[in-house]
Amino acid sequence: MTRWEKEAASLKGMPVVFHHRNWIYLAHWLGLKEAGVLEPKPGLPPSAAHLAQLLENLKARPARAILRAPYEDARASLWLAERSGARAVILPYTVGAEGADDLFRLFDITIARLREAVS
Amino acid sequence: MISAAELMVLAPAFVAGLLVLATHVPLGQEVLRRGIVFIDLAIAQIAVLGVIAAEGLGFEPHGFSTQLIAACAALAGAGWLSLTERWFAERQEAMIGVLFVLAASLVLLLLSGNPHGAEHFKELLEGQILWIEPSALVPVVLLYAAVLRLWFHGPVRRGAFGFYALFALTVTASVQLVGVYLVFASLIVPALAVSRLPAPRRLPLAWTIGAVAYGGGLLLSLAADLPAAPVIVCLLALIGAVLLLLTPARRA
Repeated sequence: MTRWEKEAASLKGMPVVFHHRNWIYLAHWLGLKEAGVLEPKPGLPPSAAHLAQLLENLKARPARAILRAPYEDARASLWLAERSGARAVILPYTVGAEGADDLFRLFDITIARLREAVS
Repeated sequence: MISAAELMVLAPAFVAGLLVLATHVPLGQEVLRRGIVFIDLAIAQIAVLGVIAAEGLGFEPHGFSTQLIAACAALAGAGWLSLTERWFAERQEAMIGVLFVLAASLVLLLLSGNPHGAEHFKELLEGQILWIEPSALVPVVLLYAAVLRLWFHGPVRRGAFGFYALFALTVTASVQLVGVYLVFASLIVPALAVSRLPAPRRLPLAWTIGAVAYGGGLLLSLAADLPAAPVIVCLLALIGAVLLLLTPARRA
């Protein structure tokens, strides 16, 4: 636990965009700052007005990463990454996803991918 | 006034709409002339079937192999329809209807094992016009330039298979850009709306009302915070209906 928190120290305060608010506990633990949400209503594609607002906000306060689970539509993240300069990051959402074989690997992979986005 | 960010969101969708209209309006006039309106739904559905089958086989959703499989599926459907047009001309519309239901059912079967199937299916019907990457439009521009050249200056216009083949390739590309509903509306509504006008004025006016509907529909969806594709379809239908009502019936 301490090792992870030490590894993740550099992530503190990092502004990120969530695909939707399923990463809120992770963000809370690591001190990530929410810079916006791609899908305010989970499962419903965002409207043009919401996307434009999100782009405006990110221009004023750029985010470093856009977080999504592997089952979420990649097109939205990649679209935003292309236009905002933030990195699209896929995180394992639970044990068994994205090669996270156990709970320890889940946190290892999550933190490693977040650090990659900062570097 | 619309902001730079809003323009960034809407511009690629508008360009995609103009591209779709460029090819679909003249092809739609031919579809009306032949009286095979539902061919579009059938071919678009077969192209969708190709895309889903390719994804099921593990190919990249927007990769080259997927496009190739979708185009081959649509061409096979087009080939079959150009044969049935010769064999049972008077039953062509029924043939097209059956092909549509068959392709749609096969899509449902392929997606039945996929937990996100319903969402995915809706996406292909409604389209995801806002996610269009400008780079994805380049191959479509090349394809459509070739289609328009063959259509207006080539020998394909008269031959049945030539028409069905061009139609299949055009729809395969457009259905993945804007979805089944917008493809159908772009094909049929402008062509229908101008059908009572004198021939030389039809094509330019059909293109114009299409462009107005895409532009207006995108702005309206922005202002009203509604999904873009259905708003464009409704606006196109409205403009088309007004135009058709304003033009007097011609005596044949």
